[in-house]
Amino acid sequence: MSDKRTQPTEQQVTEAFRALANEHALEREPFDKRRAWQALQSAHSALRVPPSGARLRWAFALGLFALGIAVGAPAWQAWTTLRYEARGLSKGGSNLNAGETPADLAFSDGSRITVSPHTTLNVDLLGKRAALTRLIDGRLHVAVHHEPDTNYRFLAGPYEVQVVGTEFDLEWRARTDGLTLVMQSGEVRVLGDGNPRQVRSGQTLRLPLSRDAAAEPSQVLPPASQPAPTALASPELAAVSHDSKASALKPSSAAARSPEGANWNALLNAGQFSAIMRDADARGERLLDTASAGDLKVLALAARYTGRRSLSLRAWQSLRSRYSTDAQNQGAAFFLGRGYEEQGDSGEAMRWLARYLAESPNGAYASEALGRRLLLLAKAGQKADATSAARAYLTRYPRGAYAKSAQLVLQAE
Amino acid sequence: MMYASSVARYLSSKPAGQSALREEDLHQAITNNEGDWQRRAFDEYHRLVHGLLSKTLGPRSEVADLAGDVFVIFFANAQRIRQASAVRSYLVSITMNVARRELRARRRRSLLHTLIGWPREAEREASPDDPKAKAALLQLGRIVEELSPDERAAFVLHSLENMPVADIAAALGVSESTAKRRVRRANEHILKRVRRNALLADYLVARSGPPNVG
Repeated sequence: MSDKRTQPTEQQVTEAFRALANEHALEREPFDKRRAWQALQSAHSALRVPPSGARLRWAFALGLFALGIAVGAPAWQAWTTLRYEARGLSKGGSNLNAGETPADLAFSDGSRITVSPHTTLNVDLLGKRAALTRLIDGRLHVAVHHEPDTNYRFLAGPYEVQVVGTEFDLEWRARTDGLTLVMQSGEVRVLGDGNPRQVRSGQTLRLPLSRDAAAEPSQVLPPASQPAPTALASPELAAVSHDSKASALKPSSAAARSPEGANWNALLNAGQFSAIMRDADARGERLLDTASAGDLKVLALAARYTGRRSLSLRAWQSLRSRYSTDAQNQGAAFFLGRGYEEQGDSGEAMRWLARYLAESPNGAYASEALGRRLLLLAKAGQKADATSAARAYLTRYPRGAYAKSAQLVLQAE
Repeated sequence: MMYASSVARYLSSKPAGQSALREEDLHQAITNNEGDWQRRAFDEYHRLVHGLLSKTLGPRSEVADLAGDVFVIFFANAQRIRQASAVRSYLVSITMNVARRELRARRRRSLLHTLIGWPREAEREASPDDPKAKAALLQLGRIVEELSPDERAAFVLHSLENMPVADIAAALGVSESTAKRRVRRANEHILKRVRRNALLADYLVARSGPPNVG
């Protein structure tokens, strides 16, 4: 008997296999489905989800928490941390270096440090109104804005100057003269030589290079308006006085001692503000009407640094009235705004800052003017204008010294 | 990823009419996190998942737990699906990955059992209603087990699911010629083994009817 059996083709095998597999799967599927669902319920706790209302409440709470972190953290940081904007300073490692011209640091609490040429320092921000400045070498003019919790400290060699709101010149010469502190206003506490002391407005303190250098004892000098022993090596520092009417732009005997035709720019760059003032006093009131734009600016700055604010404002006003363009008067409107702010006249300060911004929207002090005006508006409760100023600031200076303040103003809106 | 997109293309034409509408509704429920969406998805797709697992792993396989695994993965990730048309294809891609993982695990277990002399794993019987069909399916299943996982995947997708060779190639991450070679090798192996088994061959011929000509 021959085997006549027909061999299946590939197609037949495939079709038959598919049909068998489908039949089997369909037949088993209801049974397996029950088992699979039971297994799922026991294995996958997510299936036993809480009611959607409870889940929504949890999601809402979590969302609020996340939002609080996202908004609160930067706001808290902005609220608790001081910031500053450095102008004219270059970075060298952690230090800031002033070059051939004066530079400055504008702090977000309104404090300001003017850095004389060839000065090296570094600054650590420690809190909302707290900073630690190390004066490595050179000279600073410091104006600290006073608030109850202000805590500015300055380290110079072995010494520490503690400040809660004041204005003074601090000089530290690491190789030669040691520390020299000239107070314009307020009061500071000086530590470091084993003899803590208060130094008050008008006084001058000189300390040697090290606390062991007993050969040159420290001396606190009374205000220059009082008879004082000339203990300072630097005659111009000895002559620094507070903003007394007695010394305001009157011809005096100082005129004879002042260098005739002295280069005020060079003196300014050397930080010898009192020498400028002595020369100005020698020339008398008419100086405001005759001095060049450059000299008026130097006079205004030097008067401000030595605490003679009213004279500083008059110099700026003279500069502005006699030289109309910003290039000529060199930002007089801005400095008038800052001067009035320092005197507590917010209205006048805002007016001058706004004028500066209108006249010089891209001027050298535009960011500072916008920032200070923003703070003044917010402080005065002018919400609409403050909001507008905050938006303008963030648009132009999203990383500026006042960016966090601007964000806070917008958040409070 | 290639596999998922390929399966998506392959399956995108399958749901039509009512099925497409149900898929749209289900996607809405998933997106809105409506309370019963897991149960609805399970009811809608369990048959598909079960069929794919059963065909890939063989009639003796225990697929209920594996189907559960597939849905656990699906439930955890379904809310990432952006388009209603992708729900089905996403589930298919999960299923095939689970099936291939199971095949490889089986091979490792089998080798271990052989080495330590344990008995083979318990196997479930195929449907007892039709003894001939049961026998044929079991024998076909054993033949398919002789294929490598890659050849088996190629065979299931091509011969049992009618997927085009180009899509299989994309799905398995190989060239079309490699995919064709795997399909051809799998078909040749199965045909050769079937032809050696007279009873099985006769049964399949009788069941499928005369071959198409031309």
